[in-house]
Amino acid sequence: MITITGVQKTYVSGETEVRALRGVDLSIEPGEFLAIAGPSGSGKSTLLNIIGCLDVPEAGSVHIKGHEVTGLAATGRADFRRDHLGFIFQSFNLVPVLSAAENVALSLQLMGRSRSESEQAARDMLAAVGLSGMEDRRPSRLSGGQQQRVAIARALVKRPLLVLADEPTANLDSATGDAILELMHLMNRDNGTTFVFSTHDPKVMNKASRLVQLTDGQISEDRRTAEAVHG
Amino acid sequence: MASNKRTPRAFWNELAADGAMAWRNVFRHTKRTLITAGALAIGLMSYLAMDSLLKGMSVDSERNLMWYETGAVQVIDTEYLEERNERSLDHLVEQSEQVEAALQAAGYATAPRTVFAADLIVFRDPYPEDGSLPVIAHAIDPERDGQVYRLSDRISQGRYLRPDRDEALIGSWLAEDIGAEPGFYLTLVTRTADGVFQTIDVEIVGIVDTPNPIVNRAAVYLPLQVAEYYLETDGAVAEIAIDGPTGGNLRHLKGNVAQIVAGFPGVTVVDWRELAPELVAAQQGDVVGSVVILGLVFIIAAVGVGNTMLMATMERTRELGTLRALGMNRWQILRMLLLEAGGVGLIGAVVGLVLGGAAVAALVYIGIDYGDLLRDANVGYRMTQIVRGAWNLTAFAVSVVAGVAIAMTTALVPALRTTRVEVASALRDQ
Repeated sequence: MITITGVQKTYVSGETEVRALRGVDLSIEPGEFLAIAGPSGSGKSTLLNIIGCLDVPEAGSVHIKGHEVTGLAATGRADFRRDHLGFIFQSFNLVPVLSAAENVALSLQLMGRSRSESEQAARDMLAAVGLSGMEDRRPSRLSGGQQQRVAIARALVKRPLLVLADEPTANLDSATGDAILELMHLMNRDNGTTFVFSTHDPKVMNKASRLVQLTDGQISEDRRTAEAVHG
Repeated sequence: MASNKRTPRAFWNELAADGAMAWRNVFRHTKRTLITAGALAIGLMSYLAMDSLLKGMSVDSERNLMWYETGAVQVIDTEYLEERNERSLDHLVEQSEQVEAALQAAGYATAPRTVFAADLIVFRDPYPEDGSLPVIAHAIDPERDGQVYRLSDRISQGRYLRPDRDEALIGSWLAEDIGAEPGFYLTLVTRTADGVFQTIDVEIVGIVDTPNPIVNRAAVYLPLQVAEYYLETDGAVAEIAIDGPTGGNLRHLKGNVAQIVAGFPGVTVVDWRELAPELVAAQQGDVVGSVVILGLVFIIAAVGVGNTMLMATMERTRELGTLRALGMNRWQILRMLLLEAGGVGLIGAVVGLVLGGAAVAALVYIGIDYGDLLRDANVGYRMTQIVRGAWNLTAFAVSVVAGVAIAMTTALVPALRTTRVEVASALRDQ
């Protein structure tokens, strides 16, 4: 479903060039629960950004469901993200002036769905992630774990082809992080949604069905995990 | 794969979401919004109040000019206008009776006047002291002047003129200046139509107190028949005034009158604008004044809204990046930010309308008392002491549109700056 071929990306910071990705090739099948691991600066976030159409590579291509998204213009990439991709961020990134339900519904409203239809779907999705009764709370009145559940609901409510999560548990305590990861896994298993997430936490890596290790902008390891074997 | 074609319904749903979020953001920092909207409101209130005052001065002056000085249009000698300020008797309408008859036959009320410069001379006892001063004398037909002018309604002391009597009315400020009262005699020294010095002795029978400072300051009125005798004008008059609506377009009236008098050689038709160019200049200055005030409002709003939106976009860089990650494109972000600025502008405009409405009401119903300031200053306006405002609904509409448009326009720069940030780097913003 997702084919990444020869992707390269270099950042320039002052007079220093940082080669974040040095020719990454990767194929991701539908329904995978894939972790991209590596130390800070290994290129995890850059790769996620490029797969998620948030950034464009200097060289190489990304095909999602047969379409080359790296060739799309900014508006085309925005439309693609809106219609087909879900995002979960390390810092949750909920809109503070919207309630939990409104944050989730926003994904659907941006696709052109009506407010009432979107809010009903949002409430159903919030119930699915265990937030019944908290739909009308603003993010400031939710715990970190609850906010990340809202973010998961926001990512999943539009039934995307792919959910990209950048260090989704990094800002959570261990127990909450486990619960969030479990929820993502559940959604992956039950709905068949493809998840690609970055992490540098070995405990999180072990939950993935496939682990891609990045080192200095290159894939140093790509293997199925025990979770995949047993899961 | 990406659905580029949006149905109108989808577009409106998406716009509603944008609008709702923008409106929430308006109240995100209530204090900041109120300060910005407040500055805009005060600016718009000032604009409305100043516009009302200028319009009121303009409307009142136009009416006071027409009712006490010029009428709506006048039939005059073709060369009279150029030398009108000299108030000589060199260019009179010779066939005045025939011209008036033609106009009256067409249904127009007319009032003939001969205006001439004179030196007014008074002597100690009964006056407080001897003296002379230049005045503008108006020879009027007491029986027909009221068909165009409102002088007879403004007698503050004594009575109105009677035909064929050697008597006069004088302006109230002039009367105060020279210490005149009804029953006193005064002497006018002038020249006849033939240029010979002439002295006219008349009894003051009344004092006129009008809202027109030109009349109050230096006008003396005497019966036309008396003036004809002393000035030897042989039935000729300087001006034949015709009444018309105040505040209206006089082109039609002027055209009709011109057609009626077309058969009379040596006469032309002019309207009050040509007779009082100084008032027209003052009115045009009003327009410039309003534009200047609106410009000041623009600067206040530009600084306030621009600063607010700059802060809003800078502190929300990551949030705006998130919205773009969720699928909002740059134009949608721009639209949302502009709607937000428009919301601040709308609040400012609505509050400005309320405050401005109150200020205008106070100006219309109470006015500003300038005391004796307007008595000594000739600024082109025909008004005395209390200056009142006027309602101008167009200005109110302009305020709302300007408030919103100014806010949205000034938000454009910070909003555009935000949309230029790459999504990935916006998401990294702390």
